[in-house]
Amino acid sequence: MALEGEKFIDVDGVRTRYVDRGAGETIVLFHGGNFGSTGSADATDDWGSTIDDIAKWGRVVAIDKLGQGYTGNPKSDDDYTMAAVVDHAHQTLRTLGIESAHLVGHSRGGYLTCRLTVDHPELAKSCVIVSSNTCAPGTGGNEKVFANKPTPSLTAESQRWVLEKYSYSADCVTDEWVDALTAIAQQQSYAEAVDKMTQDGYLWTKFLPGLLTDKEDMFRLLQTRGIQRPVLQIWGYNDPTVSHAQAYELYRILAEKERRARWQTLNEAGHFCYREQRKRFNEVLRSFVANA
Amino acid sequence: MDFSQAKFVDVDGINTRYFDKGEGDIVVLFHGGNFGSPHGADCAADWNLNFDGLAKECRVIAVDKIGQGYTDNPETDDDYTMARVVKHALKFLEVLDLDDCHIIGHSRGAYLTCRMTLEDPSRIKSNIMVDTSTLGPGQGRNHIVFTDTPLPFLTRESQRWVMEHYSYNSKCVTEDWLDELMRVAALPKYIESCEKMEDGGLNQSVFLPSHGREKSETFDWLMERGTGRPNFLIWGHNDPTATIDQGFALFDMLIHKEPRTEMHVFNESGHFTYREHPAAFNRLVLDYVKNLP
Repeated sequence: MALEGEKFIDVDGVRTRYVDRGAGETIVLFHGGNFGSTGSADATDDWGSTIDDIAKWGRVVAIDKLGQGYTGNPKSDDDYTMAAVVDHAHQTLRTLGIESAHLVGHSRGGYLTCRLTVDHPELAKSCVIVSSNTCAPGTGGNEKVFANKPTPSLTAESQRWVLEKYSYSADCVTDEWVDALTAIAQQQSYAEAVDKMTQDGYLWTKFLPGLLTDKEDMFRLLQTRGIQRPVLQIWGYNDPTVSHAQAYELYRILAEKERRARWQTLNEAGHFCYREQRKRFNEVLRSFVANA
Repeated sequence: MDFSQAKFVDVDGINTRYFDKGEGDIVVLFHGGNFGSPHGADCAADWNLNFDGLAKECRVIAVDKIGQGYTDNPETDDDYTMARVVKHALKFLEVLDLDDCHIIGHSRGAYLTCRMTLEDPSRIKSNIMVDTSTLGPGQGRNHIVFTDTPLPFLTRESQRWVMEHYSYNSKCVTEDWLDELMRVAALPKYIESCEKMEDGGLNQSVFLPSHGREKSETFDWLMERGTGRPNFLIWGHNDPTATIDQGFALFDMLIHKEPRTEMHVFNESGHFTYREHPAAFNRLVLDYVKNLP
């Protein structure tokens, strides 16, 4: 089931799916999760109606990250890293001819937008980080929240369980969304990435160690030269995986060097706060972009 | 904000100054501070960097609270209380026949808007609160920050020092604002309220004790039944007096019974968040009030 406005483009040999809709200021969306995850097969579909909302006032470009959704897997085993994800995102923007945009990332995608902005400030008019344990210092609650998830993993039942655990209310976990992520997980390429991450152990030998090192490097850059762009954190107050305290720690780091650092807390919203507080997410994002 | 465009209205015998401009959704601004404060003569002019910008997209009303600005002092010594301030503000909405108001309160004015919403929400559509240790759980740090306020009080130098120490960036302490604060501080009725509050001891004997009791009661109400109206809490990350931890604690109490509650933090901002980031503050608030169902 194709998303409205869905297109494909070759990015350095990786077939990349993206959605491009609306007109005006360009807002680029990066979803969360990572390739070969056995929890949920996150993709652009995560954004759901957020894309419709933004397309009413801006140009929204939502990209399936490397190895996720309908974008091809990393080309080499050494690319099963966050660094490769960031590089692919950067190259996708270049290939699409997007020179400067408002970059919005959720969860692991929040690390991506923060990293892209700090490494390539010229690409970012502003940076928005949404409920991101990957971008925040400290320990998230994922291990606890997702212990003993239903097996076999990645079935519709198992993914629904995971998405509901992430959320304040199960209402935001629609059949349409679960079906879309289930179809993604059923691709041969997705199973290959799962094998690499778990059976071959790349999750523990490459992905997580590399991310740890890269995060330390990012915090160093944020604390020395700062993000240098308007930055907004939007956080779901009831996110079981990323605490308010972690959000505060990240905000303090961002705020130390960047005057235009802002932070919006949404109540009755878990990890997918843009799905649970759809209206206010859109309004706050729009207000921020108007001043950024 | 053109101070010459002030209007006056009789509110239960209290001659009350206000400014009223623009059309559309109604936003009523309640400033901070209190009558007879020796630290600063806060009044509607506190909003002078925001007023005209807001008026372009809504009907904005900024009022001098009872005993502050050009509004008359409370009638009797026993009326030098926040309860009298709340009563006056609610009556003001009634006299002007304002319905579906979005009320924005700063500092002591945020205690006021929260209390107004709890006591009589009939004319209130949303309750927006900015940097408030008067309402925030725990103690503010005012007594530490303002230990060395230059004497004599309420001179231009002294008021400038106070406002700068409230602020992250002293650029938000503008000359036209200070001009108005100086005019207010020179009014005989303001001098009289200072004499009552400080020399006469009403601050210690009446104002603070009654506020302490009522603040406690306010928390009981927030935990029992909530405001019944959407709450928006806006805070300056660097507020030296109303600390952000007080903001977090207040947010926790507000959401207990009113889920339609959110919080927004601005960086490089002291106590007067709306003065430090006027354009971004106005945009945020306008998008909030214009879209509220």
